[in-house]
Amino acid sequence: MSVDSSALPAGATVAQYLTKKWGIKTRLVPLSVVAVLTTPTRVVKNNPRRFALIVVNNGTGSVFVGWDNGVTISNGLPLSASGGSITLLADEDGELTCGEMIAIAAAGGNNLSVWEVESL
Amino acid sequence: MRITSVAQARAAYHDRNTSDATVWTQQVAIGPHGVVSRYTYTVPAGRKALVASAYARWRRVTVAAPVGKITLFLNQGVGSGMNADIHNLLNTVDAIESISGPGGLFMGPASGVVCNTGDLGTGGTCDYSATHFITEFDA
Repeated sequence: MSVDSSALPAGATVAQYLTKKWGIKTRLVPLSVVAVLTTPTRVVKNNPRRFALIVVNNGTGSVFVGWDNGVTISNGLPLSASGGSITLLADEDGELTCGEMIAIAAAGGNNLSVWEVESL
Repeated sequence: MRITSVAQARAAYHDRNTSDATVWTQQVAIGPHGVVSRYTYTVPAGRKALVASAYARWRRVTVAAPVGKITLFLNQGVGSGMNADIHNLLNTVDAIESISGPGGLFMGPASGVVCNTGDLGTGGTCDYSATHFITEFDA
C-alpha cells in the first residue's frame, strides 16, 4: 500500500518520513494506565495496526510482562519499579509489537503507563 | 526491543522498620548470689540489630562479712566479646563502680546480648543496674 506523503503538511517531516517508511499514516494513541494485579492482567489488546509500544512501570514493585496468559513472576520480562520500561518497534520486534501483552506482579498496586503508535 | 531498568537505592538501616529493643535491669539491695542472668536479647530471624552503647553500674549498699567477688558482666555477640565488665572486692558502703561499653556492633539473626551478675560474699547487699541500647531493623 502506498500513501501520498505530499498530502501531509510541509512541516510534518516526521509524519512524511514515517508514511514513506511504513507506507501508511500513523497516530499516537492516548495514554492508558493499567493497574497490574497478582493474576495475569492485560496491558494491551492484540492490535495488528500497532507499530510501536512503550510500557513504563510507575509502581513501587517489579512487574513482569509476557505475551500470553502463562506469564508469571518467574518467567516474565521484569520491568523494575519506579521507571523500568519496555519499548517495542515493529521494525525490530515484528509480531511482538502488535500481540496482546500480559503483565503480572507479586503484589498489587503497580500501575503501567502505556503509549502506542498505530496506523490510521 | 529495549528494556530499561532503574537502579533502586536501598533504604538505610535506620529507615528499615526500626524498633527500640533496648534491654536493661535494675536490682536494688541484692544479697549474695551465684551467677544470675539479668537479661538476654536475641536478634530475631529476618532482623538485624545495632548495639548503640552499653552501660553498667554497681554500688555497695551494706558491707559483707567477709566480702566476696562481685561481678557484673555485659556480653554481646554469640559467646564472643565482653563489652563491659565490673569485677571487684570493694566493701565500703557507697562504693561505686561503673563502666560504659563500646557501641557500634551490628548483630545478625541469632546473635544477641547478655547481662549476668554475681556476688560470692557472705552477707551485705549491692545495687546493680545495666543496659544495652539496641536498635533493631529489617535485615
